Amino acid sequence: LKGVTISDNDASFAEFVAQRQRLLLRFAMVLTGDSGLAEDIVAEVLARAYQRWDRIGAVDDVNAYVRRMIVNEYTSWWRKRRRIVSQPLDDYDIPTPDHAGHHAEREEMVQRLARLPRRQRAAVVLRFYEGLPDAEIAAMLGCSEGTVRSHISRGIAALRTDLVGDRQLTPIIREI
Amino acid sequence: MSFDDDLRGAFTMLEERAPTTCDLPHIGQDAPRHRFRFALPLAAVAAVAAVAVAVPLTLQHRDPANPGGTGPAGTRPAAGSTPPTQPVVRPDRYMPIAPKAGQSVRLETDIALGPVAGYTATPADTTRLYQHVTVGIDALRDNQDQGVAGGGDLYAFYIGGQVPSEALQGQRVDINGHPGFIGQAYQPTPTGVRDGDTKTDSIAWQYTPNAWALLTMDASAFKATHTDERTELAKLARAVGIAPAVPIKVPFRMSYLPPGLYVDGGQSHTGKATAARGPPRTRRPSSR
Repeated sequence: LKGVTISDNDASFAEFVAQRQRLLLRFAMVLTGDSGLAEDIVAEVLARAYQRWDRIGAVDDVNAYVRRMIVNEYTSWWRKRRRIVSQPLDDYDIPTPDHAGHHAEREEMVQRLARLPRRQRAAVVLRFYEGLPDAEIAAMLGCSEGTVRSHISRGIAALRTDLVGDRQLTPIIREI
Repeated sequence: MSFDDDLRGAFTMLEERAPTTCDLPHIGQDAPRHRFRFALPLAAVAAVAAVAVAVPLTLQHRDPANPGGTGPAGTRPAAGSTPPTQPVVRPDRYMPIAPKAGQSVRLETDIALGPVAGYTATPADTTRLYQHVTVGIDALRDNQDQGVAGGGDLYAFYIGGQVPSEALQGQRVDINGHPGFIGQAYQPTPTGVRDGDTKTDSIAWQYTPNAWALLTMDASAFKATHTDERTELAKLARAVGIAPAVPIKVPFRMSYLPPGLYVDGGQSHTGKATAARGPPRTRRPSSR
């Protein structure tokens, strides 16, 4: 563009975004379960990463670094914005089991994932979606490996809970 | 299916719902430290809360070329929309279950027409009763000013939702192993209330157990293309299936609404979504 100078730093960032944006959005979507939130978190993280790209672009594994930023943003997202009173729409949209067996079971699993506490969900996603070992998950979440194992164990136990009982016993709690 | 399969399936399902792009910082400029991405959604929510108490509210994206909102709707694609492409119909996909009273409708289109030579399907709107896709006849695309219908309309009702009963009295045909009926039907409306007394040639069929679809197409279209109506209707019906969801894009965030409001529907071509006031939510009673 006329009058706009693209530095090497900018070019490096643009290349990273071109290569990774969709993967980061998919990761954020699995992590959050909410497309709007995933979009916001990735946008926020990329905006902050761009400001410090001269340093971030030089780390060994840029992708892992940015993913860690996404996890941190997710686990602290509602803490930052807890004054916003809102109701995720997915909450209204709990499907009931039907003939479409596998689909319904997976949809139920999505709903159960949505009910996990943020750090438990992050631990489960990092283990079973990203395939990371305890040590790396602990580094990402900023906790001990024992805590990671605890998060995963409790998360899996909650996911295994029978859905009917789960629905009856677990009221939908809104963060205010 | 094992627990692991379900978990991986859920991850896959979420991946497929991921947005494809997001706001990006402007390269070559200082990225703004304070961003105002919440301003528009909050403004929209405030507007909804202020007005929706009395009547269902329509939030409409204004077309700069048509600021008064008059004239035919859907003359211009919504910002950010992409040209329609032939979807890949997936046998492992299912339509959503019909939303209950007060539940929001997912702003997406799951129903799709697989590749059929000479026809192009375009998502039109999603309501709490059905998903609607227009089916254009390619040969008539530029020939709609001579009283000839340029195509038809495909309506897929949700699982456990409406049954187009008046359309189930025609000639019986088999559609992919499910019952189908070629006859005539009234055009469905978002409210479920019949609009006019004119029936259109149609085929209604069960596209999956406990869910019906209806394809309506004016006979003039078949006459203009010299094709056999029954053959074409059955051919199109057999190509209908469920594809990865196509989101209905609107220029404001509909992810969050004040309690008591729900999303009632949306249109792809105008970038318009409708919010309405629902019954108060009550928590499910605990059994213990």
